[in-house]
Amino acid sequence: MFNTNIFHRELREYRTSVLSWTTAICALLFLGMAFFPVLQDENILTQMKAFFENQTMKSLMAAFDADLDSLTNVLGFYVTRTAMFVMLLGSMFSIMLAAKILSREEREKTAEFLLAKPVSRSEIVGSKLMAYLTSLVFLNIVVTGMGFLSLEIFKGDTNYRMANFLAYSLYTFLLMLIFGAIGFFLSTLIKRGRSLNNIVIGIVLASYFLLFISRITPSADFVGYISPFKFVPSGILKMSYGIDGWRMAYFCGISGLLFLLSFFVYRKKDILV
Amino acid sequence: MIAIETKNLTKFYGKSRGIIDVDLEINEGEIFGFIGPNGAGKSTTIRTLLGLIHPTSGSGSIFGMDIVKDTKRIKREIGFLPSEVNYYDRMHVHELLQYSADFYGLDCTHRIKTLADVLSLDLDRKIIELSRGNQKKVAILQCIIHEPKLLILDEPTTGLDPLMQAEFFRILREENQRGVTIFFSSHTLSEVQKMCGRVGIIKEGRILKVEDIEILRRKQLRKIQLEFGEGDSGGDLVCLGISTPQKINHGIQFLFSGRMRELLDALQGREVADLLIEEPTLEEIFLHYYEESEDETGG
Repeated sequence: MFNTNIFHRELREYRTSVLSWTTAICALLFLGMAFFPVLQDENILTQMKAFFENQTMKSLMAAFDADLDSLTNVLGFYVTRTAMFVMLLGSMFSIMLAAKILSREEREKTAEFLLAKPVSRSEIVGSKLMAYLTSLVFLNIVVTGMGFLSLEIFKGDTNYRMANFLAYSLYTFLLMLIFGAIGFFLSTLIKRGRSLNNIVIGIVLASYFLLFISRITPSADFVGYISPFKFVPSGILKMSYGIDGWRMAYFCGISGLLFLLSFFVYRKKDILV
Repeated sequence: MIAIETKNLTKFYGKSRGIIDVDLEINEGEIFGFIGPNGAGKSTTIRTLLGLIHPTSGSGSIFGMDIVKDTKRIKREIGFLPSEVNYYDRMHVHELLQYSADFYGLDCTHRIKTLADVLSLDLDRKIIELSRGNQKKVAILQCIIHEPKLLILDEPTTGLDPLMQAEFFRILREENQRGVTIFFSSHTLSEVQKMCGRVGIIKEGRILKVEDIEILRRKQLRKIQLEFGEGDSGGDLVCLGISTPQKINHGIQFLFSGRMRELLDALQGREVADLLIEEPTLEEIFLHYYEESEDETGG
């Protein structure tokens, strides 16, 4: 199920790309958080209380899962900021890498080389999957570390619950993972390794859009459940915020199933180059 | 021992034909030529043997190992040279060769160096910077550095200049003398003739004929064009060994596999204006075999 040679080669191949994405996300995260002390010092938000009470503004804020309380708390601010950058960008990174890492061999016709080597199809899938997971875990560890750093630097005299931050970071990782699983599985279905970039970015954006709709229109709440974004819990400031069994089951179950299916499909697949 | 054996090996891509009922038996140590025009099924056969695609029906084995079930074990024993070289562009030549060697867990450093010298290949260049000919050399090295027992070559000489071709053939003969079996696919018979003991001819997905190269050579199939003087179209020319006669301007064109002496006798007393004797093209040899096989089946 695993070949070290392929694994190492894939890590090297995508090293630059993983580092660039990680750096970009960290930079945006840090810059975003740098606004927090500015907003608190000037007391801008509290002065604008009336503005936030406005009905239109309220529903718009709801779409971002933000309210005045969450914007005046450092972790609340972090989540409304990172929900935008980290989740969206991270999911795009994840789904694009996963959709490419296996199918690229077919698109660039190097599969002819690889499959003439003494490796089984399962080993190819397994090693590439591990290389993808390693990259994703790396990105998440660095980004979470950066998140922690920026929370500590910019928190001022507000405080936050560490457990909530860690739970949120785990959900962020699982969200990226499930998108990756979708991309990985789709790439095994495509003939000749046609590029899926446009499709997979569309999937992430459409999912995000569905979440928006479900938050703005309570009557359309159910459509949100098509979107993995919906399964990341809101209410970051609640005491009860944390790891929740059925959400874990949803993320891990679907990802695991898609990865497993990828093995089956790829093993039976005709590799046309 | 048998190196490659296929029984009724068939592959359909959906409804379109790949290969149909391909039966091959290639002995260990043999150099086997596999010829056919583009689209005849040569690459499909090779890809099925390599496990890139799965047979629709029928079976195949390499050194007694099943091409579907034991494909990983099989690949330890084979080297494959593709017709079109496609490698990881950004890799350097030595990186690719190392990557390739690492799959076999072998230290091929010395062999890589020696062979690169023989083929005058620069190991420190990026693959994307190389000419097609040099990329082919990388592919040749990649195919033989791990000392496989069977070489599968898919139109191996495309992109190589004549000098390199000669060098490549020399390497192949050397490998063969060490007992390596070679499966040599090509669309030119003349190329295969120099190397191979037997050839299999494939057309429209089916094996037309497997024949000793000696017999093919003894058959001495020639393409002959005759032009006659005024008033003679040559239509009444009769001689044993004439096949697929066609009328041309002022004369006749046919494939000839009989005795030259008899043909000359038959031409005795005729006004021959021009005579052209050529090697037939592969296409024409196919046609010849095609007609023969139809005659045999009474078609």
